[in-house]
Amino acid sequence: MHNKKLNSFQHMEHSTRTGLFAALCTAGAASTAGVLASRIIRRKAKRPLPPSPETETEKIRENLMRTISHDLRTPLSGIMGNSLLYLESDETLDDTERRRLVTYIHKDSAWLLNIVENLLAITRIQNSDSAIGTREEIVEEVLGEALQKMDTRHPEFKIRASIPDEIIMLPMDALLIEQVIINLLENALLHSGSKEPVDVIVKNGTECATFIVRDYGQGIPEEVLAHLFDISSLMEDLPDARKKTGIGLLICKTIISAHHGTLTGHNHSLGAEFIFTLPKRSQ
Amino acid sequence: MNAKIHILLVEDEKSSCSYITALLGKSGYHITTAMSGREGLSLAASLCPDLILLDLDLPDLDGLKVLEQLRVWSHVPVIIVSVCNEEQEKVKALDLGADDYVTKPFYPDELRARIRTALRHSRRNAPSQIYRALNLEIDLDKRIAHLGGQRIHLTQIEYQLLSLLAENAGRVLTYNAMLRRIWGPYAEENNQILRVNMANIRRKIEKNPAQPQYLFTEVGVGYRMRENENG
Repeated sequence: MHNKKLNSFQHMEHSTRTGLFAALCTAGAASTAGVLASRIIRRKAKRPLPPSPETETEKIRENLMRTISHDLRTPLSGIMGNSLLYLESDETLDDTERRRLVTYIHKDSAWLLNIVENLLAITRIQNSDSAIGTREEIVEEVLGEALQKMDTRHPEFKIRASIPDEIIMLPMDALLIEQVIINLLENALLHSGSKEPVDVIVKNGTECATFIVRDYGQGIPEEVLAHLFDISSLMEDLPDARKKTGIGLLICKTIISAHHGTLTGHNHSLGAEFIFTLPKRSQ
Repeated sequence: MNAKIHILLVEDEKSSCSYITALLGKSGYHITTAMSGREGLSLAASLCPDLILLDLDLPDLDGLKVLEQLRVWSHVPVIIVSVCNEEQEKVKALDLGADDYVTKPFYPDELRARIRTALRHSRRNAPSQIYRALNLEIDLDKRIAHLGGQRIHLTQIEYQLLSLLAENAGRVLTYNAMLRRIWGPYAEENNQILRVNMANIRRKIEKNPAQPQYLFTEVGVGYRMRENENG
């Protein structure tokens, strides 16, 4: 059995081996591969990038594409490793262990799907800001669909939504704004340790509409708050959860900027909140 | 009589086939698989399945072409199962006569629910005259709607939209299909009027329009009403 495994080790390329290794020491599975992935990213990202305001969105987009493409390797190697281990295990693993391997495969696939959806979102943002296709959309329909998707993926979480009585129409790319809402909600639900249901609140204004995603968790540490939307902070060796959150937030920022809106993050007395605005008239 | 419902799966990707076959086999359906569009068309004619699951990305023919050719002679319910999540692709498939559209990857319950709905609609000779779900009841004969026992006051257009959705409960209706049915064949392409009417209905029947229980939006595609609990 051991020999067989060693043989297959030699025939596998580097990344797969990382995966099998990660699978073998299951507890630290994702993080081991994650550190490796982030090292690759850091090495690649050494080139300095001079800022130029006209192409800021495009710059962020390029960087994101690169960071995410590398990040795909983490869940992928988990899936490959765990499934190979399952296939090779024969009678050496008991049912509980097999189940655990498949659970990891399932979790990594969900993570992969999340990354791919974000990637797709970025590809919808073309080369310049004006190129996103906006249509007049009814706010509650877009929010409603995002909440429905959240409910399918995370039925265990409770979210409270509140919108004004009047019908609000805004020019937007609905799929992109849905992605923003989903990213902000997933961050709040998975990483904030919120003790109460997360709130989504929409407020109507004369120039723009405001969306607030508010959690009641531990809040965001000051040092993180200072670099919330800073792409370079993502190149560091960060724990996986932070990196996932960071990429999600950067994608939100890119999408909202392309809509000529603003996105900010703050702490409030009981947790954290993210606020984005969308202008009422297309610019 | 063979009691098992027969589903034809037109899909060339082996791992998808294996997943869907196992999933539906467990739910008591009999599955036949076609690995190409042409094979799918010929099996549809020879086997007369109760329902077809059609992938759009096939090796020989475009899935939409398969759907188009099929619709020339058959009303068999067709559910598109595709990795493509673009609104235009969904709208195209639905307007060409697909009964529903499920995006891969999907949750097992999602596919099972869509299959049940499509089969129910295809088997019924006359549409059910009462729509009932949670607290909402619509008498389609008498043209009256009640929410928690209270009569809901709807405008003519609002009632027509609501009853159209109720008659098709569980399936997605595209903006175009709804515009044509309610405003006639020369209805404007602009769907704003439809969507404002839908927002108004939502305010009359939903407790919270942002977390609807009855009227669901498929952004960029159309609307879907909650399943009718009254068969």
